[in-house]
Amino acid sequence: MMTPTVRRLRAAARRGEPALQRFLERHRVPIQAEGLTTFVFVGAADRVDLEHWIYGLPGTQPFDHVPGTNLWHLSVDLPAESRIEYKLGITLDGRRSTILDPLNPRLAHDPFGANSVCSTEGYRTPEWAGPDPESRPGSIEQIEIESAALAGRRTLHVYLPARFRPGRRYPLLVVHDGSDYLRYSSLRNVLDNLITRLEVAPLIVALTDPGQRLKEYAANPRHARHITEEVLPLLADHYPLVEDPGGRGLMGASLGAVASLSTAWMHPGTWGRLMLQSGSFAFTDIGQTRRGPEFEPVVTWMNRFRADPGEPADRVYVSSGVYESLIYENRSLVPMLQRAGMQVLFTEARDGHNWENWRDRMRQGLSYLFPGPLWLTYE
Amino acid sequence: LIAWSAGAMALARRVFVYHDNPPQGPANAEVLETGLERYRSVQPFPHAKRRLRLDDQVRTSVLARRVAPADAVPLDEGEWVALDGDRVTSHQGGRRLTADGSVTPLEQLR
Repeated sequence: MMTPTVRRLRAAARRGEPALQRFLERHRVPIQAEGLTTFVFVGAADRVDLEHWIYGLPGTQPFDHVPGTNLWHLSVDLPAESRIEYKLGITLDGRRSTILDPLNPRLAHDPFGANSVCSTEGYRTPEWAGPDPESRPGSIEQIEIESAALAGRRTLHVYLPARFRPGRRYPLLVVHDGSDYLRYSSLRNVLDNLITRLEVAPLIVALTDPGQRLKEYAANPRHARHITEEVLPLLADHYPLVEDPGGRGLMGASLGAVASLSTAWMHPGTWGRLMLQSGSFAFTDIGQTRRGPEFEPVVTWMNRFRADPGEPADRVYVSSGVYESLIYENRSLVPMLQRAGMQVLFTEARDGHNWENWRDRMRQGLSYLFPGPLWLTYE
Repeated sequence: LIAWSAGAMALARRVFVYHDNPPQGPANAEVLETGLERYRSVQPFPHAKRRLRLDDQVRTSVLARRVAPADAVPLDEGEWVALDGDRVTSHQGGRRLTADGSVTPLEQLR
C-alpha cells in the first residue's frame, strides 16, 4: 500500500540520508497518515520484520526495502483506538536479532523486558494512571505469612488508602501478581488517584505474588485455600475489614484471573467482587485443548465450572483485548456468568495481552466493583 | 467565610450533583435538592476543574441555561464569590458560564 506519505518517505530516502533524517524529524514513528500505520527502520539489514502479538494477523510481517537506501517500511491497517506492542526482527548476514524500534521512544515494560508501543488515533494514555500531585498517597506495608496450604513462607504487600483510620471498616481487594501490577500497570498511582477523586471507595488492597505461578494459579485448590483460609483471616486480624462478601474482591490478569474466579468458586459466599482481566479461561467442548499441557488443569476446571457455575460472586468485571486469542474465551464467559445470576460488566479494547491494557481498564473495573462517593460528595 | 464547596451549594437555590466524566453512568447533571436559598443570583459549581469539561461548549451551554437566570459560577480551590444583595464580587479571574457555551469573566457581567 503506497500512500502519499509513504511515497514522500521513499523519495526522501532516495535523495539521501540528510533528506530522510529531515523527513523523520517531522514525523512521529510509526507514522499515522492516510488511515494507515507505517513502521520504519533505517539501517543495514537483509530483511526486516514487524513482530507483534495481534491475534488474527500474521505474527511476522516483512518490511519493504527501498533499493539503494537503508530505508525499510511497512504499512498496516490498524483501526482507530488501537494500541499494540511490537518489536522489529532484523536479519543481517544470516543472523537474526529482535530489537526495540530505534525510531520510537514509547516503551511498555513487562516481566520479560520491554516492547515498543504504537497507538492509533483516539487512544489516550489515561491521565488517571500517572502521578498527580493533587492526589493523596496511600502507604504500603509488608506482612509475612506462613502458608500450610502452599507449604512455605509468603510475603504480602498491603496498600492502605490515604487517611486510613483504624476505626473505620474498609473493603478488601486481593490482587494476584500484585508486584507486577504495581510495576507495570501503575496500580499505586491508579489507587491514589481514583480514591482521592472519590471514584473508587477507599480500599485495602492486598498484593500477593505466586511462587510457582503456572501451578498455583491454574485453578489450584491449594491456592484457593491459601487465599481464603490463610490470607483473608490474617488480614482480618490486622485491619478493619468490611465483614460482607460485597466488601471482598479478587483481581487478576491472565492466569491470575483464573486464580481469582476459581478461588471464588471453590469458596462460595466469601468473595463478592471479581475483576477478571484477559482471563486464560481455556475450555473444551470436546477433545483436548490445543493450548499446551500447562493449560490442562485450567481446562479441566473450566469444563467443570461451565457445567456447574454456581454463583461465585455477585458482581464481576471482565475485560479482554480484541487482539488476543483469549477474546473468544472471555466473550464466552460473560453470558454464562449472567445466566448464573451475576451482574457482569464486560469491556473489550483494541489492545493485547499486556499490562498496559490491564492498567487502562482499571478505572472502569474498580469503580464498578467498589464505587466511591463521587456523585454525592464534594470535599 | 460562610460556606465552601458543598456548603456553598447548600446555601444556593438548588443543589446540583454533576460530573462530566464519571467512571460509570451517563454524566448528566441532576438537581438533587432544593437549597436553603440564601442567595439566588449565583449557582456555584465547586471543583469545576475536576468535574466540568468547560471546553465542551454544548455541555457548558446546557448547564448555564439550566440554572438561568442565576449565573453558573465555577469555583476551584482558592476561588470565591461574595454576595451583598444583588451585588456579586469575586476573586480576580472569577468566571461565569454563558448560554453560548463560553466561559466569561464574571466582572464583565456585573
